[in-house]
Amino acid sequence: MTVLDSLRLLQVIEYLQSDLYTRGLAAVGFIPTADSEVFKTLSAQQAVHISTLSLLLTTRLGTPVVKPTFDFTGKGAVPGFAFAAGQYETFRMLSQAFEDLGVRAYKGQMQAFQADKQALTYALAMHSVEGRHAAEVRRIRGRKGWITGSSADDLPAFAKAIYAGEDVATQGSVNIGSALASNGGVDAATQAFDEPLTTAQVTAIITPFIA
Amino acid sequence: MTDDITRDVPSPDTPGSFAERPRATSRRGFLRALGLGGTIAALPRLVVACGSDSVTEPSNGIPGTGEPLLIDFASGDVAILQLASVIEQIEAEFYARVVAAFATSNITASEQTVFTEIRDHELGHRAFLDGTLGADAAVPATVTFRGVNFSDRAAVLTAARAVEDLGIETYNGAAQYLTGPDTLLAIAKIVSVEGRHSSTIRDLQEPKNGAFSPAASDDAWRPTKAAASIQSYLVDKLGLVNVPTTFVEGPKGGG
Repeated sequence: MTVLDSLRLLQVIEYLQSDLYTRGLAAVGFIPTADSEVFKTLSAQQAVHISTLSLLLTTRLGTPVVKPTFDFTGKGAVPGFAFAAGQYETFRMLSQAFEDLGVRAYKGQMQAFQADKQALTYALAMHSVEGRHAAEVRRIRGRKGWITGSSADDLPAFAKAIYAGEDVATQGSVNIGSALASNGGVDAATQAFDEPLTTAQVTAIITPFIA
Repeated sequence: MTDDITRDVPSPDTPGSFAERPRATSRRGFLRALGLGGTIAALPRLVVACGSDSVTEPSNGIPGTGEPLLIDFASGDVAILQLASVIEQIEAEFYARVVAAFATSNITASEQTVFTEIRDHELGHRAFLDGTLGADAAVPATVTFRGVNFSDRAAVLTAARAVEDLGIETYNGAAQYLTGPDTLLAIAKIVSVEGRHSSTIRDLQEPKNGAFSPAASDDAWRPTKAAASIQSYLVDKLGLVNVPTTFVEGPKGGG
């Protein structure tokens, strides 16, 4: 992966998130008033991420991604989902899935940015925001803000791949699970570190959502 | 050196809690695995302040009045890990004090669960950095939280928000100086969880109003800027030496 390839991959994910929120907010009465500020914030910030990635691409003589057309049923993975009445919980599940995906996808590209300090620092500044977003959508669903083990919680089966490999309790040579034996143990150890997803993993997850 | 040990939280130095802690040999092996090879610099022998506090009386010493705590950027990735270690010691100690004060605080039961879990995560981060740096490169700090009323929910949330955001700003800015790909990945694994923490703390303060993420991009601070804020949590005199003169700004600038 070149820096340009990495930026373009991340831009597809940002478009995926952004389009979910744009369409959710556009469906009148779909998002309850109590949650609307959350999704307005997410929508606005993903749009900025898209333009920031475009800037990074064009200043490197790359071509920004043309916004894909998304199929939020995931070609059957989320049957019948159409931003319709009664489907708000499914919408929030997709949001959780795509925000946790964003965290892991950005992380998986960091090493590709290492020689390009601007791309790296910009990516890091958006990556920690993806972490903020993920925690918030998890919390409004009544979940913890962090990922325990490789649990996909109650999300549809497609999301299992988003959490695969999150259950790492040893970092480098340090067994964090043991170190936390009396302070949360392996669960806390897995929560404390988010893991990367490879380009191939991310591509496989998002492909069904591209029409 | 007792100040980073709080009553009910085993320190990584407590026998048993860290029985498998790798010693120097395996640390070098790991740093080699991180691509640091033989670059572990012999740091100046540091004398670390041991204040007048005891294990049962957490330090609220005056910032900057202790002994020097030097981080030498000539040591490469080790220096960034040392800076991270200082951050994680501050965070771990902060939440340990929050948890220790539950009995007298107005933090609700469900919030106590959140704070306890965040404490555990920070202890995990600290254990990772302790184990990775090993004894030779360790930077034990004497932390202080002057003026924070740990029994007051609002005060704790305000202080927690500041501590979490400082960690994010520090990591996001310092990562550009890393040369080892695995060190970079390790830092990235930690910083997104700090983002989750900050979001959670902010949501407890101001539920569902957008405060969880104040901007599309977080700040990325150069180490000297971060150090000025970090100093307010340290009795030690934090000194960064040989800091690279060039710094590449993040999207928000001002780092």
